[in-house]
This record gives sequence, C-alpha cells and structure tokens, in this order.
Amino acid sequence: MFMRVGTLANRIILLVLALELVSIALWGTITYQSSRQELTNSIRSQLHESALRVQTTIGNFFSPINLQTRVVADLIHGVRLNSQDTTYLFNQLLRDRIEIEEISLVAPTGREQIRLSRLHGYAAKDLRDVSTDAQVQSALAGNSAYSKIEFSQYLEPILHASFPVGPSGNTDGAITMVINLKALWALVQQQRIGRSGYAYVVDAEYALIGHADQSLVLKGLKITETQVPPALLTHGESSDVLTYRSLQGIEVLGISSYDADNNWWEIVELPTAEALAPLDRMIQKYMLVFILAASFTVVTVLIFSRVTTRPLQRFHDGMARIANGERSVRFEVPRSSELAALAEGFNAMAQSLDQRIHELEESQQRLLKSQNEIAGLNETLQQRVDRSTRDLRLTNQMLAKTALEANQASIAKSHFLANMSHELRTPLNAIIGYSEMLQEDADMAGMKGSNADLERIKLAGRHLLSLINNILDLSKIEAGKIDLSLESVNVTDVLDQVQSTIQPLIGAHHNRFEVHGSESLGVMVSDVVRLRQIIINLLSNAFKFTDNGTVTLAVRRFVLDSRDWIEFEIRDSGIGMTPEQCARLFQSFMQADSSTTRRFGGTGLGLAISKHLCTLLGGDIFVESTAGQGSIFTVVLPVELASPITAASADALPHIVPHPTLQTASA
Amino acid sequence: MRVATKTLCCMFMLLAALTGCGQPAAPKHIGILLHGESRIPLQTGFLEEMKTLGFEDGKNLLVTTLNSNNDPKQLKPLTEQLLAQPLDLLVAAGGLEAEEIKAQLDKSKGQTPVLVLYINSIIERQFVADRRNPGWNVTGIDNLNAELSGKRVELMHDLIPNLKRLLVLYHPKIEPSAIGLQHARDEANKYGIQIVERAVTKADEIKQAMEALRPGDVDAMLLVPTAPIDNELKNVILPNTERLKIPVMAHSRSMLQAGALASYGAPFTELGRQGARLAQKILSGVPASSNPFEVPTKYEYSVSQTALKKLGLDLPALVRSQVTEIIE
Repeated sequence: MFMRVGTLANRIILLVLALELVSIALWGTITYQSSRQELTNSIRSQLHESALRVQTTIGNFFSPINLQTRVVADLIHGVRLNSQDTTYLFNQLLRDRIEIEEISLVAPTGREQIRLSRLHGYAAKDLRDVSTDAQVQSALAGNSAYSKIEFSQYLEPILHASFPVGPSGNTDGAITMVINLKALWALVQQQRIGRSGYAYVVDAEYALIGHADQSLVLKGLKITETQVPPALLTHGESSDVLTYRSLQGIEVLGISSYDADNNWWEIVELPTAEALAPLDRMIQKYMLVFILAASFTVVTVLIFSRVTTRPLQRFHDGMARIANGERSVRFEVPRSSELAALAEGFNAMAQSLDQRIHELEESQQRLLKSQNEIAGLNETLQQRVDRSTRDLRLTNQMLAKTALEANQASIAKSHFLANMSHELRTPLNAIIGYSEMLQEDADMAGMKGSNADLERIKLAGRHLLSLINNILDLSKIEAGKIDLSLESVNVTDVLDQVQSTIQPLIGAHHNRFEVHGSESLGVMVSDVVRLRQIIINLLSNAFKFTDNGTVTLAVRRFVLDSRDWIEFEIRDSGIGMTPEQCARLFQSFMQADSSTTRRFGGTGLGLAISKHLCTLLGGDIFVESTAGQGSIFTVVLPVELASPITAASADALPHIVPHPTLQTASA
Repeated sequence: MRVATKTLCCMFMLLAALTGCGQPAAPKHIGILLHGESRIPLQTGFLEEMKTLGFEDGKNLLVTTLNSNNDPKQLKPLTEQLLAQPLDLLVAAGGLEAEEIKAQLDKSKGQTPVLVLYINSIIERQFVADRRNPGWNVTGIDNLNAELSGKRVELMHDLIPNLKRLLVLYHPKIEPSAIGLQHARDEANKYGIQIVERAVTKADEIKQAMEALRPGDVDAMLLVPTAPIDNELKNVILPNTERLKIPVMAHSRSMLQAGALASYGAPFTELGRQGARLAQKILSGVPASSNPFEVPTKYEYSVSQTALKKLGLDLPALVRSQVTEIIE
C-alpha cells in the first residue's frame, strides 16, 4: 500500500513534488489572500450598489400610484367630473394599478360618494361616512396621508392612503384607497443580487412586508424575532455589510438602507456561499493547476528519472549477470559524462574481473589436476595402509595367538619347572650328599686321588641345585605361587645376617666390603627371607664381577610423599655394563652377555628373581652402570608393606616407587 | 514505478472530484389529481411554471396525473392509487380533490405533502384550521372564488342592461357553492336583482334544471365555483343558455372560449403557476404546512366579443374601463 521511497526515481519524484507543492501552496496562499480581500471589497461594493438600486426601485413603489391618483384628483377637481366619469377613471385605475385593492371618492363632508373594490361589490347603500378617519381628514385638509401597514384577513400587508382632490385649502374632497403591498412582492422578487441574492422590505414596526419568499410575509414575521442583527435596522442611509443568518437560516452577507419616505428598510442579502464562490472556484482552479502541474511533473520526472536511472539499472542488471557468472557483460558508453565514466570503469572492472577469473580458473584446473593426482596417491596410500593394516591385524592376531600360546607355554613351563625342580632337587640332594659322604669315605680310605673327582661331582651338583632353586623360585614367582610372609623386620639385623652370609665371598676375589647404614634404620614390615635373598643376590653379583675392588652396601631411610621408604644401595667397582646390557639385565636367563656367563658362571636368573621379589615387596630395583667402572644397584622398598603384592597385582599396579636419583631400570 | 502510478491515480481521482463527477439527484415524484377537464388549465400552468423553475417532467420530475373525468366516485380510488406511491408531493387541482385527499390522509395518518391549486372558502369548509397554520401538511391558493361571486353580480349589473332575474345553479353539499350563492344573493339584493336558485348535485340534475328553463325565465346566469357544475358547462349549461339567449358570467377566462359572455377571477393558468412556486419550495425540503395559504395575485375581467355579438349586447363605456381583456 505504502510506496517504497528508497529508489532513486521515487526520491526524485517526491522531491520535485514537494518543491512544487510548497511553491504552489505559497503562491496559492498569497493569491488567495489578496483575491479574498479584493473579492470582499467587490462584494461590499456590489451590495452597496444593489441596496441603492433596490431603494430606488422599491422606494418608488408608491410613485405611480401617487402620480396617477393625483392626475385623477386633478381631473376630478379641474374638470368637475361627474360620478359616472369618476367611476370610469377609478375603474381604469383599479385595472392598471393592481396595488390598489379599493378606491373611494370622499366628499368634503367626509361621506363616500363612490367606492370600488377588486374583490367586493359596493352599491350605493354600502357607502360610508368616513369623516372621522384621520387620513381622510388630512386629505380633506390638502395633505396626502398614509396609514400604518396592516395585514388583511388574507394575511397580506395593506395600507390606507388618502389624497386630496384639489389644492390645500380648496379641496373638493379626497380619494382614499386600500393599497395591497403584495404588489410589492413582485417588485421585490425582481430584485436579483447576483445569482441567488434577494431583497426584502421591513416596515417601521419591523414586520416583513415584502420578500421574494412571500410565505415569510404571510407568516407575519417580525424581524426582531429573527437572527437578523439589530445593527441592520438603523435609520442611517445604509448599514455596513454584515454577516449573519438569514430568515431561512442560511449564512448571508447583508446590507440595509432606510427609506425615510416610505418609513421602511430595504434589505439586500447575498448568500455567503455565492459571495465566496469565486474563492471556491479559485481554490478549485488552484487545485486543478496543482494537479495538472503535478501530473506533468510526475510524468516528466518519471521520464527523466527513467532516462537517468535506466543506465544505472543496466549497470545493476549487468552486475547481477556478472554475479551469476556471465563474464562477457559490457556496457555501451552513454553520452552522459558521469555515466560514461561509470560505464568505462565498469567495463574495465569487468575485463579485469574476467581476466582474474580466467587465471583463477586455470589455477583451479591445475589445483583440480593436483587434487586428482593426490586423490590417486591417496587412494594408493590408502590401499597400502589398508593392506598394511590388514597385514598388521593379521600379524597382531598371530602375535596374540602366539602370545597366548607363549603365555600358555610359559605357564606350562612354570608349572613344569616348579614340578620338575622339585623332582630334580630330591635326587640332586642325594647326589650331593652321597658325594660328600664318598669324599669323607675317600679321605678316610686315603683315596686322595678320588677326592678331586668327587669334589667336581659335589660342586656340579651344588651348581645344579642352585640353578634348580633359582628356576624353582622364578617359576613360583611367574606362576604366582610364591607366598610372602610379612613381619616386622629389624633392618640392622637383616644387614648383620647378610654380612654373615656373604662373608665367604668377600675374599674370593680380593675385594673389600663396606657397609654404610644409619643405626636408626629401624623396623620395616616385609618378608625378611625375600629381603635377604634380594640383598645377598645383589651382593653376590657385586663380588662376583669385582676383582680387587670394593663392594659397598649403603642403606638409608627417607620420606617421600608422606610415605617411608628404605633404600639399599649395592655399589661395586667391577666390570660394569653398557646401556644395552643394562636394558636386558633383568630378563630371565640374561646376563650382561654370553661371555659373562662363560667367564663368571651363574644362571642369569638372580636379577630377574630379585626384580620380581622387589615388585612383590612393593618396591623396585634400579641399576646404573658404566662399563669398566662398576655398577650401582639400588633397591627401594616401602617401610611398611600393608599386604603382600601378588605377581598379577604387581603387573597391574602403577609404578609408584620413588627414584629420586637413579634412572629406573624398567624405563 | 508503482509510486508514480499511484500518485497519478490519486491526482486524477482528486481532479475528478474537483470537476464535480457525481451521480445526478433522483427525480422528484409528483402526483396530480384532477376532477374533470375544467382543471386542465390549472395543470397546464403548473407544469409550465415547474419547467421554468427547473423541474421538467421526464427528466428530473416524474409526474403521475390521474383524472376522475368528472366522476366523483372515481376520486377515492384514484386518490388511493396516488397515495400508494412514494410521492414527494401530491397536487390537488381543486377543492373536491383536496377534500378527498385530506379524508384519506386523515384516515391513514399519512404525511404526504399536499398542494391545492384551486380552492376557496378553506376556513368555512373546515379544510384548514388557519391560513397560516393549516393543521396538516398542506398549502395552496385560496382563489376567493366564492367571495368574488358578489363582485361578479356587480359586474353583471354594469354589463347587462335590465338585469332582473339571475340564474344560479349551486351544489348544496359543496360548501363553496353555497357560499358563492350567498355572496351573489347579498349583492343582488343591493341592486334589486332576483336570484333564481337551482340546487343540483349531479349532471342529470344540472341538465334537468337547465332544460326546464324557458326563455324569459331568467335574464342571465352566474356560475358559482362548483366543479360538478363547471364540468357540465360546455355540454349542458352553455347549450341551454344559448337556447335561452341569456349571457353567462363565469369565474374563469377559459370558460369564455366555451361560450360564456364574461368571467372574473384569478386566471387558472396563473393559479397553476403560483402553485408551482409553492411546489418548488416543498420539493426543496420546506414542509408544505410552513407555507401559509396564498390568495391570487391577479384577477382578470374578460369579456367575449363573440358572446356579445350573439346576445346583441353592446359594451358600455363604464364596463370597458373595468375589462381587462376582450376576447374575440
């Protein structure tokens, strides 16, 4: 419904219309005001002229009557007319002057001699004595006289007039008559003021006696009872032009003039609607001019705006086409310089854009080609990855199967070893015992030569027993069949026991053994047998791989994260190990290398067992070694082991053993 | 573009409004009831003046005219027929029509404005309560015909030598007829003229009364305004007055053309014109009852030269001074 003013064309139209409207309104207002003033003056002048004309016309209403009556009177007086001739003249007067309703000839005595009427018949017997009538007396005295205006039984205004017959002082009688003023109505009706203006007459009693609308007269209207302003009824020559409601209730411009001769007012009225009609017509003309001008303006501006904005629209359409992918869009360069520059700029932009797009397309094609190649490679790679994944999955499956088999085999192995070790140890102990008994028998028999062989059998048996014991331990650990016996252990006592046990090894390779430990090491809750086994195993290794050196056992107690720990450090100055050797040091049956086994002997199970035991005791074992310089094995155990840790749970537990100074062996 | 189109449309609509494009007003509907051909001049004058005043039958005026053709029985159904229509104004040509209309409106409490072109003795016959305030929605022209009967006797006295016996037909049930007779009787007494009265109520009685007269029974005849009698003027009365060789004083100039010697009264066509001016006001919205009853503005004394010759009468000088028009 509401117009969209946003477009350039609409804005131009509205702007021009607004300017035009203001201009025409300004012009119209000024013209209207001046025209109104001129019109008002003109109306005022017109009404004054009309009032004057009406006064002249209506004011002379009685003149013909007076004149003709006077002629008749002169004839009666001068020629001494008889009754018949006088009647003749009276009939003519009645016929010619319709104003006269009755006419009488009164003798100087005051008695009627002749009486004629328009409506009634009067015979001689109807004649009256009117000597007492004031007007008759005045006429008989030589002066014309008029009565006040009265209204007849038919509601018509009438008056009585008396004229002398003969000069004053020598009258032969009087002529009296009844004048019906309705004849005045025709005269009043003839008074045209403008198209719908009119005149009316008000007598001295303010009664309406003549009006274009005679029904108002017949109503016996008194002007003082209407809305006509009193200022209209002044006794001056004429009133000012006044605006008021007429007798019919419409707004009029009115002016009155007092007729002193007839003692009445002639009032002229012009309806305001007609009086101001030129103004209305002028306004209509203004509106017509405005509409035509505005229409012309709209059409002109529309054409102009279309001519102006069509190239812009073409630019807009062109840009839309370019936006839609058309690249060959170019504009004809219009004649307008501004638009020509715009078109040239647009064409340059379009060309540049075309070139850029072309380059972009080429790049895009290259990119697409590369993408296709990459896609091919990706596909190949994907195929390879898929294949590798598939292979890996198969491998994993095989590995899992293998691991499962291995685990089953390991378990079987552990069960086997545990059972077999026990079965082996019994005969082996018999062999060792019997070899010792044979040595004793040989000694007693003096068979010294046999002792060396028996010694070899006993040592081999012991070595085998040791090996079997270690295998048995490892098997128990791996099979989860080892049981810890937790108790309060005095650490110093443990150290003493270890020193006592290790004493034979100290001198074997000319080594020194030093023990460092605080006397306040206190008590710890652990399995004392397994603790001793770990320390002795480590010390045995230290003495085994150290010649002419020093083996040190240092024990300390510390607190970390609100928990008490005990650290056993076994340091030697032996052959040491390489990092690679350290990495596989705690694996079963592994020593630093095969040559070590050959050179130093051993099963290669000691460290694996120690490692497992440390774990079961809630701690861990760490190693630091440098080839040729020696090794440091550190065992860290909790002071208080709340409950034994099984092999299975040890694998599941996170590694929480502190290692403040050393690299972990399991890393 | 739509803005410009809308703007132009608005402007042209405004232009159309300024140039006054509008529907013409609906035509006014007037019903006219006539009782016989004697009313025709009234209707003619009325319609002529209406046209002068801007109301033309068939254009902005729709006129339905019904004529009883002098049959009193037809007045009632014709009036009913007219009042059944949505009239803006009902015109009664004469007093008889007006009385029938009044009777029916009184009965139906209707408010149709009524204009009477030709009526007299409106107070005496109780047609209206007052000239200024009629008491119902009516106005019209009181032609004073009954009152003028006395004046006509005076004129006949001057016109006809040795007038001694004057025939007057009257309708005893029509008030103006009786009033007219009374005025004639009063005036005749002044001049020693004998009024030969015949009461008639219908055409047969008129014919019988006229045919019963023998030459010498009366010297002249005076028509008092009575529609049933007027309507028999041409076919019954005037042939008999011609047979009796007596002059007839009528009350309408149109009667001279039929054979009457003289007439005095308001011209019918002029009364029709006067009524048209009242009709104009009524049609413009002024209630009929707001217009007091008027009387004629003009009276004519017409004498037929033909009738004078037929009767072998001369026109005295005194009468010449009275005559408005001598019709050849």
